[in-house]
Amino acid sequence: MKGMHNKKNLGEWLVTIPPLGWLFIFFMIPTIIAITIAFRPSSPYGDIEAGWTLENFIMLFSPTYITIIWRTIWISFISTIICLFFALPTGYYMARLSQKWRQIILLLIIVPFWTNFLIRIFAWKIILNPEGILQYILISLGIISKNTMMLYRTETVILVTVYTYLPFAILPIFAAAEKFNFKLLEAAQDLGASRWESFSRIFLPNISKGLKVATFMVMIPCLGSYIIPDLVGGTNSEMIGNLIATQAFIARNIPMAAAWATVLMAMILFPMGLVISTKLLSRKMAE
Amino acid sequence: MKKLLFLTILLLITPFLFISCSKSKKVLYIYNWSEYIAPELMSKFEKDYNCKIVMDYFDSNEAMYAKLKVGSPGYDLIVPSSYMASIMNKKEMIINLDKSKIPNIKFIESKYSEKTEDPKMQYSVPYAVSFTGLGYNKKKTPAVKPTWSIFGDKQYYHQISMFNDMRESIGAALKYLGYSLNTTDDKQLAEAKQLMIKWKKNLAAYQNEEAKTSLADGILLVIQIYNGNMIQMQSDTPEMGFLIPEEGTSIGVEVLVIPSDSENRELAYNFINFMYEPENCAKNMEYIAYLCPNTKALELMDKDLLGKIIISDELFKKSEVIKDIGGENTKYVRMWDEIKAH
Repeated sequence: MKGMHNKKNLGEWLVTIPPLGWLFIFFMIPTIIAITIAFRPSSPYGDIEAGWTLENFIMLFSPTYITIIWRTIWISFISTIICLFFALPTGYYMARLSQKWRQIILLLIIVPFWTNFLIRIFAWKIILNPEGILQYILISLGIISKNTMMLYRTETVILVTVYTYLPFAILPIFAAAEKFNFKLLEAAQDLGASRWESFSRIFLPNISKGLKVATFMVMIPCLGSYIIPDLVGGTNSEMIGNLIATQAFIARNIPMAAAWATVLMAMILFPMGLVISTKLLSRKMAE
Repeated sequence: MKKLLFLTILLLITPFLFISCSKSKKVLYIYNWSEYIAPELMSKFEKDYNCKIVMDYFDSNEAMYAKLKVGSPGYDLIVPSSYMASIMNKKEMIINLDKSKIPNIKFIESKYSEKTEDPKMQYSVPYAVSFTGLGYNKKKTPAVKPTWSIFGDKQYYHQISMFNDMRESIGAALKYLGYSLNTTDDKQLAEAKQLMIKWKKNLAAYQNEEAKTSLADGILLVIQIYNGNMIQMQSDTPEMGFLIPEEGTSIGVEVLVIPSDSENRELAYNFINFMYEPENCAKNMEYIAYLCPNTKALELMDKDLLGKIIISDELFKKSEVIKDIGGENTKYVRMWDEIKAH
């Protein structure tokens, strides 16, 4: 019995080692190198100097940069909320559709994502063009004035971000909702719950895993956004991703770029760590 | 399965097959910007000198420098901007040129080099000269004024863009204020910063390449752009116009340098000399739409194009080349971030 257990263990190890090794070599090591570089001084010629310093991190927390860190956070936060707002009803209704319609809708959501990301952003530039049809319709409806510029605004960054990451929110919510037994909602209503109560107290807690995954799937790439603010953002839409690019390519300051990347990583790992540790804690408490 | 394995192996060894084929000929490795040389000249050089040219591309001086720093990629010729050539020279990454091997250098007018860090062309020779200015649509905005203050002009509110390039953009503000665009004076920089913040409220965005499509699509009305880009755009959309502000502008000088670890120096010298041959030089200018200060070649040029790639003496006097300012660069980075965060 013991021998068999060992054999099974060995097999498990054999299949786990290659991906683990891959992650270690191509993810862990570069990440550690980047973090190390963040503590190095830089020369004006773009070299990474010997020695250690905290200066890069001290610079990061100057008021100038706090504005941009804050902007990155709130743009990502709002985009995530809007994504969830649209993804939740979509996932809910998709789960209730017949098999055939479910597949059609799923296809409609996924197929556009076979088109290159950049091309889809450029498409938005055409849609929002001041001489475009959308502008024309909105003007004739009296919603915007002739001089309103729909491009190059922070709102545009949020709009395009939501458009880009919405499927990443819909899919996990749909996957969770698909497993949900909708008869429970009827049962709740039979027991006197209103429609809203049964939705918020029965449905939502049951798909909470999907909601969490959706939040992370949208929030993480949002925080690291670079192309979207670069292409459709205005003069006030710069995010951390753009700062990293500036530091690496214009300022020739690789340590500073690495420091920014480290902060970005911390911003992502911190909430994830929080979620995981509260989970562990609650499990321990239950024991 | 066997077939698949065979195909995979074939795919893996194919590059080596080609390498062994070309071994008999000498190879000149060039590191250049994309579309920055006329293809016909490359094939002509290959034929004349019985060699093969392998061209790699970079899209920023910094990316090129970073690649060279990491290890020796073995290039024989590089086309950096003048300020980057000066850095490479300080770091001893490039050689001092033996001018006796470039007889055609006699055609090169030195007035552009004189504005760079290498006035005597010791380690670099100018390849292409560009000027920054304003691109606009003649049909939509015929009355564009040639001044950098246009960035604050309410008439173009949110339909005008500046470069997403700190030295060029801050340089425009410095020029408007009458200062040098290589200044490191704190007071002058503070003044430029205030002006930039004022302009920023009127701007649509800070963009480089993307601004071109936005201008063509009518999203933007006026953009900060290099003359060569505008000339290329004019071939598709003739109504595009280009102006250089009367306060003077920044002159970009891309130079040819030979890295110290080049294995084919002779061929590299031959290539430089070949490119300065007046007929070749004129052909190249017609392709890349940037000026090469080769007096003999300019005589052979199409007059219409010539008028677009040079500027008046008066403007030339007021204009400057962006220089490397070493450690003072951090002042600009700081300021640029402050402007953006404002």
